[in-house]
Amino acid sequence: MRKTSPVLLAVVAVGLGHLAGAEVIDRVLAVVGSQVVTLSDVRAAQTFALVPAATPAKTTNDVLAYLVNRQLMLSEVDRYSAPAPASALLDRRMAQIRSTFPGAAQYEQALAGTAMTEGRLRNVIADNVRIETYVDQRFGAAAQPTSEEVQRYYLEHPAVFTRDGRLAPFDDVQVQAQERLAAERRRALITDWLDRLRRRASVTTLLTPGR
Amino acid sequence: MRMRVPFLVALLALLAAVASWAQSPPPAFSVDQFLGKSIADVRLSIDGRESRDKEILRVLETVTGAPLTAAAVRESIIHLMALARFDDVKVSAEIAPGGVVLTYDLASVHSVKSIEFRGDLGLPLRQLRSAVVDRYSASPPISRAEEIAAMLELLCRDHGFLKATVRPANEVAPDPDRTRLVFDVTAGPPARIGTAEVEGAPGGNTGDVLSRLGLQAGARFDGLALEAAVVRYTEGLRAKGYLQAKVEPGIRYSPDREQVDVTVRMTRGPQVSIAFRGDPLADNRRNQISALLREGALDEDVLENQERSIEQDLRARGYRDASAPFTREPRGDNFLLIVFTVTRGPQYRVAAVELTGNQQVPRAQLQLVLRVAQGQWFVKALLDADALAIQELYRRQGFRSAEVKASTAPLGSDPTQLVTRCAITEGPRTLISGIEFERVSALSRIVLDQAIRSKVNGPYYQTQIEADREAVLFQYQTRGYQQATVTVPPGMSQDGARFNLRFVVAEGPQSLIDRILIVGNIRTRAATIDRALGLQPRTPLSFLALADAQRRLSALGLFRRVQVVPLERNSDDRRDVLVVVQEAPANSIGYGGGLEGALRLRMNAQTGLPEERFDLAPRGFFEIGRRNLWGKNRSVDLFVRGAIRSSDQFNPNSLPTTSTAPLLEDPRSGFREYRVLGTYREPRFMDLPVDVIVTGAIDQAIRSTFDFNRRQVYVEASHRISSSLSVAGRYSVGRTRLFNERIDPKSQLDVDKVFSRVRLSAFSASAVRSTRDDAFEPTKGTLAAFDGTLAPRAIGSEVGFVKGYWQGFVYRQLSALRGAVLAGGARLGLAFGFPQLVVNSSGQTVVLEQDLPASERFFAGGDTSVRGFALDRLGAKSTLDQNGVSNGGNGLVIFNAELRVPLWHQKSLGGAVFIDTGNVFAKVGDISLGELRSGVGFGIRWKSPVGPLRVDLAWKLNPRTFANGTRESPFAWYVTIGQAF
Repeated sequence: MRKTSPVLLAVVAVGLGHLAGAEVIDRVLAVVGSQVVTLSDVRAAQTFALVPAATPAKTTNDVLAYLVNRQLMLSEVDRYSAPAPASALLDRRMAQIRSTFPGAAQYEQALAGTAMTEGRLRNVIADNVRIETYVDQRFGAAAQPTSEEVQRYYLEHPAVFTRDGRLAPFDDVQVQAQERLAAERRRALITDWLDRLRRRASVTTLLTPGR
Repeated sequence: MRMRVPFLVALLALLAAVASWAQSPPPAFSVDQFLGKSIADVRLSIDGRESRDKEILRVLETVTGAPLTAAAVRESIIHLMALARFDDVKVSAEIAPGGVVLTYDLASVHSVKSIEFRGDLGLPLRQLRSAVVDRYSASPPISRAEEIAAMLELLCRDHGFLKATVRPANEVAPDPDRTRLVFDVTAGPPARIGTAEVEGAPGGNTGDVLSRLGLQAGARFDGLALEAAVVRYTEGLRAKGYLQAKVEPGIRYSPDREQVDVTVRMTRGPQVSIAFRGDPLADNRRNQISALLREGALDEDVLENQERSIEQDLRARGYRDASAPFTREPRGDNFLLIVFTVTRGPQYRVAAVELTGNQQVPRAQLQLVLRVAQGQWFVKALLDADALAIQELYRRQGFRSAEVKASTAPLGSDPTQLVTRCAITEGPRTLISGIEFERVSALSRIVLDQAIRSKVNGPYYQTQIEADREAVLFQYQTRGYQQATVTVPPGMSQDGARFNLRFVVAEGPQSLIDRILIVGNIRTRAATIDRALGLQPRTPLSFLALADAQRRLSALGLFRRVQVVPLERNSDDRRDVLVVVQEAPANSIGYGGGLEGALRLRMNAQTGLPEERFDLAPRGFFEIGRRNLWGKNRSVDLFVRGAIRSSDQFNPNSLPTTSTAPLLEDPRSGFREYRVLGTYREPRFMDLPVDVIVTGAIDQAIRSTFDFNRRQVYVEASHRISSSLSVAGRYSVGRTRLFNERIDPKSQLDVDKVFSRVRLSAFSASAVRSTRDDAFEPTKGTLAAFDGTLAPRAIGSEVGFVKGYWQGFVYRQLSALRGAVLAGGARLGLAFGFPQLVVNSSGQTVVLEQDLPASERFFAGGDTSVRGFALDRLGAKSTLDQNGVSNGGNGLVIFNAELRVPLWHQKSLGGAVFIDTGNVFAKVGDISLGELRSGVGFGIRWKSPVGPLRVDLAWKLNPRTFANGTRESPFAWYVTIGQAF
């Protein structure tokens, strides 16, 4: 039986304590035009809940897709020089974010760990507000359906308006139908707009799918 | 027992390691375990190979010895990607003795050297390649390979290869610049047309429709070709008058995508004719409307637009009540007549213009903005415009609620004579009671006051206030306050008479330049780049300053690419500026050739007399230069040009000559004209705003009167005062030798007899102001230039003189003549020789009064001075010998006028008509405008690929007879490159 050097074993054992040695701590995940989206940007978006609730963003891929779309929209918003949002609104949003952390120390640690500063976070939020305002102004009115369209939607989607096995009367659900149809249209318009932006821009994604 | 101890140690170590894993809380992110630790080392790995590239290390924010922060890592990634050298950057960290070792893994951008296609291509190779190159360039980034493959796949499917697949198979070479982009194409079988049907074919003739659309059962299906055929067919139907024709193909694919059934649904509609009834319309207007209607789909909007257009045209000519409604008049099922019934009505004229209600603004001021005038045809649109102009004038003066109502009324009994009335309701006037700037600390009140135009006690004008707000914001942005905002809150007094103008500023942080990082320079010194940039650390960062810096750097001419970009920082107030340059090749080589044709004076071997003969001279040049010497934008250049000229002497009948023509020094044809120039150029000599050029030149040229050979050295210092104005000073010294003089010896000047070789040493000064839009093909602007020379004997000149030459040219585009250009010019030359006593070849002492050597005297005539005359053949009688050969003179006057017209909508071909007039006078005192001689003519201009070619033919007005009895040739023609002036 071969004897294994105990010294070697000891070295291996000590080395095991540092198995976490070379770790990728940050990297490029995508390039949108000339703007880079990094792994730390994805972490920041997750940590500070910067992804809108309506957007499905569970995995790194989802958050990355959101950030790529955000950058495409931001480039368009910048072209039209959309005005900066009011300071009071930004103050409120920053306070909301801070309140999600148990204390100031945890908040500071989160900033440090995600390559963020208070100033840059505020800028990111300001840009998000500009994007929201721009999208509302551009697609808000266009997405509004006519009464005939709302009625047609109601008739074509009975399952949505069925309560306790009965189709609710149109008058009772008209507002809901209008909101749903407007929201669907808005999503479709925005998706179409994003497709056009993506075709115009140069978007390169480096993240391996499935992560 | 001995063997158990080492094993115990190993076991203990293992347990300790496991314990340490168990005890430390898992980090939120893997980076957390490294944050705050000292950076022990920073390593680079480019494409898997270790590197110590200083240029790259310079842009990193993570520094050995400093604590590791995530922000510094992220910034470093941003900086590296900004270099545009890498496709991917990964940063990994590992704990090492002394802290953290960071490794930057960089993947170089692989520049594609070639694009290849493999497999079953389906489409022609050229078509696939041009689809890639047209959209992505000949060297697309490898990162877009998937996107390109998707585009090619779509292209194949559009052309009928419905099962085509395209996959990229990049062959990345170790050398990043030798990557091949390869696409594996599997086009598959092209889809075939199964069935092809037509619904609504005119006259049931489905065969004709299918034939025109290229649809035949069994034939290859091509979706794009079908689309193009549908467009052509529809346009053809519309050209025949079926203006409502619609053709829509419906396509059904078989499950296996190998067969396509096409159903074409078409409605031809009736054949449409356009007719005009009622009052006449000009023919060209009718044709224009008919052509417009044929261009697009004929629908209600288009017809209403044309109706409005006709009415507007007529109303603009005083037919106030003009109408042109259209009606549709079907003629059976197959014909439709669209009729515009034009009713002009009476033509109205403005009999008088009245303004009422103006109390605070004098009428004289209001009249300045009026366009309606008594006696004009009445046009309501003009009257409405006047009302708006008056209202705007009031608003600018603070009458913010001023209103103007326009109306008309007949004057007397003639209803077509109208009095126009503008009734003004002035309303109260609002003045600015005060101007305040709130929350301002960074800029002084003086700076902000100077930026705005609104004044205390000045009029309140909303548009001006908005412009002032932008101006205040601009002051902040140019000083680095990129996030500044400026608002103007309401400030109107209760009675509306006063407005307190407040600019509320949120300054935000000021961004300052931190470090200036220069990368990409190999030969060029960083100091040269720094100086051109004009940026300084710790100065405000403004995008205007960066754009200026980029422009100045590009203007050096040393770089193929220049980029000046601010880099993100985690702290918003300080930013690094990254300057990326790609140097242009240091060596340049140029060469070219051409042909010059012009009338030239040559000696007739038979008669011994000079005669004008057309001479075609091929010429060529070669130039080699090297720039960026010693990293400081210095350059050296060698330029050589030569022309092959025929002999100065010709024998018209090829008989043995018996003439007593003067012996020519070199009667053979050959390279008898040449120029060799060696130039050294140093911009910003000794850091002064002056460029210095040192030139050595050897010239030999043939003029009409003589040939000359000149060797000269000159030093010139030039300074560009502004974008349009530059000045220069020069010292030159050289020797000029005349030979092959064609002037009659009896008429030769003493200065030329004594100084056939002359040394000249001279100071010169020049100033040029050019506002031309193009130096070679100007269409607008002016050029004014002055050149003065002083050659005193005291500094070594064998003949002393002073000379001045003024030129002025103006160019105007005539939009009324489809972009024709009217060009005009004037030139004046005055020279005075300093008197001196010289001894001639016969030993006699002669006085040179005011004579200059021949090489310095003025000559005129030729393709760039006065056309109609051969080169240098123009002169007043006192300057000509008995054969009409000019001695040149001390005075020169030339005027030119030319109309350049594009021909037949072809911008590359143009024509010109011109008149040139001028003369050369022996002495300045002899200048007389009554003795100017003129040439008129026309020419053709062609913007060839090698430059603007010009052929001119000009006639002399009043050709003369010389003293020897020979008559001047009445015309001259020229073939050359470039405009005459």
